[in-house]
Amino acid sequence: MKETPHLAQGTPHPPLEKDALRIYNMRFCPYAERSLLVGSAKGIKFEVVNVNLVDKPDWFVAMNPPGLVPTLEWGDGRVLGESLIVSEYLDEIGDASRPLQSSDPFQKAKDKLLADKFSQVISALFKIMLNYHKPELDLSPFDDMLRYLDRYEKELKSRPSQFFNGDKPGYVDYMIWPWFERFELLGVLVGDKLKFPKTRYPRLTEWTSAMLEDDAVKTWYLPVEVHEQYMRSRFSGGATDYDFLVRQQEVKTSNL
Amino acid sequence: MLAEKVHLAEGSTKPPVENGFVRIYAMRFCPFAQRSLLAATAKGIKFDVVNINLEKKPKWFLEMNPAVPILEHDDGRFVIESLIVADYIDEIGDSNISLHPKDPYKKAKDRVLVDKFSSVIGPFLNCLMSFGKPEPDVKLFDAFLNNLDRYETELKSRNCEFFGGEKPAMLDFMIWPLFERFEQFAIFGGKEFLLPEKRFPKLLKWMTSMLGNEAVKMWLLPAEAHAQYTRNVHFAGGSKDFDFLVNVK
Repeated sequence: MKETPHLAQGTPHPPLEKDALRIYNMRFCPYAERSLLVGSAKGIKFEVVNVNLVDKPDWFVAMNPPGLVPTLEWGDGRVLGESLIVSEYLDEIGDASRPLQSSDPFQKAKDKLLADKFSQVISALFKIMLNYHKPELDLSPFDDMLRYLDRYEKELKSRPSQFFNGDKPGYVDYMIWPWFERFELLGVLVGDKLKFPKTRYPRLTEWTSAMLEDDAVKTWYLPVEVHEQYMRSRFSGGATDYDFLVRQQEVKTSNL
Repeated sequence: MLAEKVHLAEGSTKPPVENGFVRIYAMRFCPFAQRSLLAATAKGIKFDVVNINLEKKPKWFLEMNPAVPILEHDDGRFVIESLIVADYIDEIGDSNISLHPKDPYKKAKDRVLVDKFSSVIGPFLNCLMSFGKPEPDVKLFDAFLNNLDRYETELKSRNCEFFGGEKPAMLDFMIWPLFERFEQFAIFGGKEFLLPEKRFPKLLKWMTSMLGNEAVKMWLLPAEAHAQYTRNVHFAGGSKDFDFLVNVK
């Protein structure tokens, strides 16, 4: 997987062929990751352009204010944002032989609610993660996060299949996965008090192992040390180093 | 003319759902519940409505969900969250009537616009609550208008009677309930709190078009009814009477 630099203010809008699809991304953004997972799982042909989110190019903000990732861009000028909506759209236009959502409207509605309500887990997680470096860190959101996750454990237990959506990962699986890639960060950044309690979630732990075998997940996966390096840089007080993976890759290539 | 129904409260018994019917739990003045009623009516599905007193919720209601709307089947399965309910209704109803645009991109763009409408709803509610205080905050009205501009621009760029084209689509129905309630500002604060015609010519015309739609007409309440509800339930010292329409002949 070729790592590419995050475009900042001053870089021009890279041209895009008329029938081509581009996903604007930030390599460490969990919301953007959702769209990459679906794009890959659905066999959609797309290119990825990374964007520097603290120094956004003007053309990027103008394309779809306020300039968030993921943003989809078609070569004919069509643009779309909002990770859940982008993901459902990609599911609709991608490989019809692999629907990510249930064909049963009731099951589909239940799954949409699950994906939607995961924002409670995300909020609680972010309350800690975005403040991890502060001396007065309130750890109570961690307990909230665990209680919200209990519901997902319970829900998965009640389903006969390996994944939320069946024998292969589907909509719910991909919409929640990016944060499962990041839970370990709490223990790493804050300490043992926030070590992720795998034993509390036996089904979700099995599910995590199964997800790590999935092709789409493997394509975009970053280990916790990489997420950690990004987080530390993001909250270092200085400029965020978005492109350390690009440089690491260049070093490797030049050593061949 | 719609027969108004009492809002069931604590101590009430849950009315069973009739075989073959779908039940929508609503509150007569709730804009989110109204979304489901509009969708269900537009799709022509067979449903009944049970109104819930949201200040004194029945225990049997809370066992399902703390909020309206809820869509319940006769076998007990239920769906919550107004937009999820509306999507569900679109899927289980007559497939010849599609509330969502057929084109995936248009559908997605419309969904973003519905999603972003929360940026109008928030300031709208803040401003409305402010009218219940001795000194309403006019800045809140400006904030509300600022966030509404985008919808005027969008409607203008579509150059159609409705956001959905020649007929209202999901987007039109999902945002309509709030437009039914905007006139409350003028009722509470005076004519300077009407939507300015020069700023929102397309939206005002759209509102007139929507008022001609059968589903909209079915559930429509005049601004004064909404204002009375706001006074009763949201302003300090209100009567908490949800049923003031029920006994009016």
